[in-house]
Amino acid sequence: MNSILALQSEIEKAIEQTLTMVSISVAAAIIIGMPIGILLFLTAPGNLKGNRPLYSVVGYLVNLVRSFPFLILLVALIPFSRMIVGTAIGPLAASVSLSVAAIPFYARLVEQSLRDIPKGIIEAAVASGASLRHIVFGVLLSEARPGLVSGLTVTIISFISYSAAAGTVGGGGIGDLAIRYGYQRFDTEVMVACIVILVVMVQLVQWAGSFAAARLDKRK
Amino acid sequence: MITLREVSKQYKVGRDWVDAVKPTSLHVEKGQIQGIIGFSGAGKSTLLRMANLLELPTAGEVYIDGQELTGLNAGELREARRSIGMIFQHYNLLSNETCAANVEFVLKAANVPSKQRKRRVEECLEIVGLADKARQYPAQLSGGQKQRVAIARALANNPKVLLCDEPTSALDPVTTLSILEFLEKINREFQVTIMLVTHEIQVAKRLCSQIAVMEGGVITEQLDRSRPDIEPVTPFGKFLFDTTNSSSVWYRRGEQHE
Ligand SMILES: Nc1ncnc2c1ncn2[C@@H]1O[C@H](COP(=O)(O)OP(=O)(O)OP(=O)(O)O)[C@@H](O)[C@H]1O
Ligand SMILES: [Mg+2]
Repeated sequence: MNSILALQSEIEKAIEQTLTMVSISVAAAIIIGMPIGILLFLTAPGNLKGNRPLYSVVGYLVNLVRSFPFLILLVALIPFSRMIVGTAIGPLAASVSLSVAAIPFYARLVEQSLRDIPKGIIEAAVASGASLRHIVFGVLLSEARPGLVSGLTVTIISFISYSAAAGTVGGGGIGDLAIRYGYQRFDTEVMVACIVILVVMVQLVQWAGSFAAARLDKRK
Repeated sequence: MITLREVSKQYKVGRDWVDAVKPTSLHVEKGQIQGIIGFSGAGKSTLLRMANLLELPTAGEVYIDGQELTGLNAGELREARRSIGMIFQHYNLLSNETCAANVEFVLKAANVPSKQRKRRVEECLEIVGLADKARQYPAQLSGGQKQRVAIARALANNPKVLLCDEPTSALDPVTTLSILEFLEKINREFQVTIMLVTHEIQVAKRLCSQIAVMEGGVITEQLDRSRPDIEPVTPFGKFLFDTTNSSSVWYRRGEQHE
């Protein structure tokens, strides 16, 4: 217990850094990844705004980023992070790479949950003379709500774990703490504490996400 | 009110083109209930869906109330579609929205101001007898009730035309009858011209003033209830005017239930 108490302020700081990295990347996933997911869905051949060239280009970019092993992406983006936030070290710099990874990650999940909407429901809206804006906001985002929330849950959980990896290249956070004390100094107590914190975070997110998705799902 | 002139529809399947509808014409007068009957795969749904351009005809023109839909741009088509209601076999309601919100959606889509929307939603649910279900979700309703919500939604923008694709095919006979009564009432009270696709001869007989028989992508016969003197040629037509079979005779509208 001694080493944990002694490190209390450092643990608090690490938690805060992890939360910063996760919030920024998840916010990027929602603000940028979701519209990209909607674009992918709409431009898929045979869909509302079917456009094979655009769909292929965006789909290719999404796959490209997603096929990078995360650690490599992290390193490859160091110059980019430096350009955006002025430094390559710390939670903000790591958030840049995390965001770049989170955007296509969530975009695909959004696209998938939109594909699960029965075609007839969209068709009924088209037949009623609804504009694209009404169809996107009134039909797609409404019908896919539970799927969008489940996808977001998966994204948050994945990026809690990615943020731990980001810590090892100077991002800070729980992962960094675990490596510095647990691995490099053989301080098992700190290692265990870090793992417990990550497990609790993931469990909380999963529980809240499942609860919200179930509440939003009226299909029974 | 509805004119399909030499419309046809081909689909590309693999390398081949298949004719879902071969060049076919159909004219429906205002206030009529036009049935389209035929076996599975005859092209009924495709023909119906060309009436609001859900399927774009490969060739031919579509007119609704004198306006050529096939000549409109995207914005004009959306505008025109607001006066063409449509209902489907599987209802196609928004599952995460209440009945009231389902009806309200099409009013929002037509940019009706909020206050009028609320009033119109109540009116429409009232017409189909579901005012008390306004706050419920589709999953909480029976099939017949869902179809009534779909009818309320189709009526919201005061359409001139209502297109129905097998609206009772997922329902039991008693519920079917009640849906047909609603459709009849809408036709009578609001002068909505109806085009209805069905493979159930009893449904067509009960509701329609005209029935087109479809086979192999073309209309093989157009029957008129008020013209039993014209000799039918298709088996469907012969059945409908067969006076020796009391369960089949196509009564003049109103005779059956008075
Ligand atoms: N999107 C499509 N792609 C390829 N072929 C199609 C498509 N839609 C319809 N068809 C074909 O066109 C023909 C007519 O189909 P349609 O759905 O209009 O028939 P229907 O009379 O409504 O049949 P049902 O009673 O089964 O609904 C069928 O042979 C069908 O396989
Ligand atoms: Mg059909």
